[in-house]
Amino acid sequence: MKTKQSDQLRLFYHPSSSASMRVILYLRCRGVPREAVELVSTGIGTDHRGIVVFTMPEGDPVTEVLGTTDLTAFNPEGRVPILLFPDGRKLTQTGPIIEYLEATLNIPGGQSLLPEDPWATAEAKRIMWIVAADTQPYQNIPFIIQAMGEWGMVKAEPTKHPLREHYIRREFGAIELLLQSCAGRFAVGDNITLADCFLVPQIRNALLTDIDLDREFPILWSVWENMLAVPEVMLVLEEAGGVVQPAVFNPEKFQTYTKEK
Amino acid sequence: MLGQVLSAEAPHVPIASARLEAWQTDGEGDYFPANNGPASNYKDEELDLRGTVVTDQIGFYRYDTLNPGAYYPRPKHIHYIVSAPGFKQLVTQHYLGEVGQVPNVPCRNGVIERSSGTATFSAPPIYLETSR
Repeated sequence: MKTKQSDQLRLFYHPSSSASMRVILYLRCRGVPREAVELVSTGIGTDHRGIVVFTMPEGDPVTEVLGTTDLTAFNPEGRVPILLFPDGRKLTQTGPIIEYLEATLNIPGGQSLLPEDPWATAEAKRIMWIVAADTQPYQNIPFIIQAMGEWGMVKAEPTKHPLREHYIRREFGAIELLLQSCAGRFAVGDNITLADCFLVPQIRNALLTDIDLDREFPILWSVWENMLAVPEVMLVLEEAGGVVQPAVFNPEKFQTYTKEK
Repeated sequence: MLGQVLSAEAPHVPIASARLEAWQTDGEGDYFPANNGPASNYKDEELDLRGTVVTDQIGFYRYDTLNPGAYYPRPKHIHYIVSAPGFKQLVTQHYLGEVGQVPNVPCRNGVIERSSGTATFSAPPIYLETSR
């Protein structure tokens, strides 16, 4: 079967993926025209162990060419988001995707989400990295389920697991101290930066824990509230299921998996 | 009336402390005063259905008023002069009619949630351009 080649950029994402949301927040807050990057939602399922995995979207031309819904056939990392170019190149990892789009898209008007001042840009990127490298991986639900099921980590409800709460608390505590010197209305000064695009999905993940965010991290919380007052941001959250993230993993399959061990 | 004032430039952040000077007709479609000229030409008791509201920290304004009447040939509407430091002043209107009833104007249409008694008009956002 001959499939029509897309002539636009396509971003494979999933509404439950906080990494995907960083890129979508960048697109909306930067004012990138909606037709410039097509959003393609992947599927979601569980593997034979009950661990959440993303799958290639059914019926998509790319899936048909691959001949499988196994996402690792498309991206060996098995993760989203994935930016697909019309010529077939693929780019993964949120920071590189955003920086490539910013450097190459001809965006009419709007403000860059990286400040002109190099120090302020470094401050924004520092928060990006704390979220992407030091926080998100340790509170990632598939990671926690796998650690409980395969490596004997203490059993608990995955979204409120002690490991998850420990790392969120540890890193949010560090970010809170940094925000004391760099935050204004948003994480770095009074304009939205990439730091805010990374913080919003991470704070949304943390809402599912029992951590009292507004009391423990008041500056971080004020940044979150100021971001929610931006209609473009609220729209992104609503399209992903609401301010509070809906559950996507299957607790019954998770139970079966841990009992087998 | 409930609405938000935003920066016209992406990422469209809310504008705090923006001033909205509003004026409108009564239910019969009459202004107070009915004659033209600046408000300073009139005594306080001759002026009505005018006021100023200031947006809060997240750019929202809210005020209670009468549902304005339409006057030929215009559908019902509320006038605004919107200003905020660092932004160009904007003169605009909110149209309160049904979709298709309003002329093609820059300020988009809104919908009244209830038609009798007290109603909330969730106004479309007002966008201000920066003055640099």
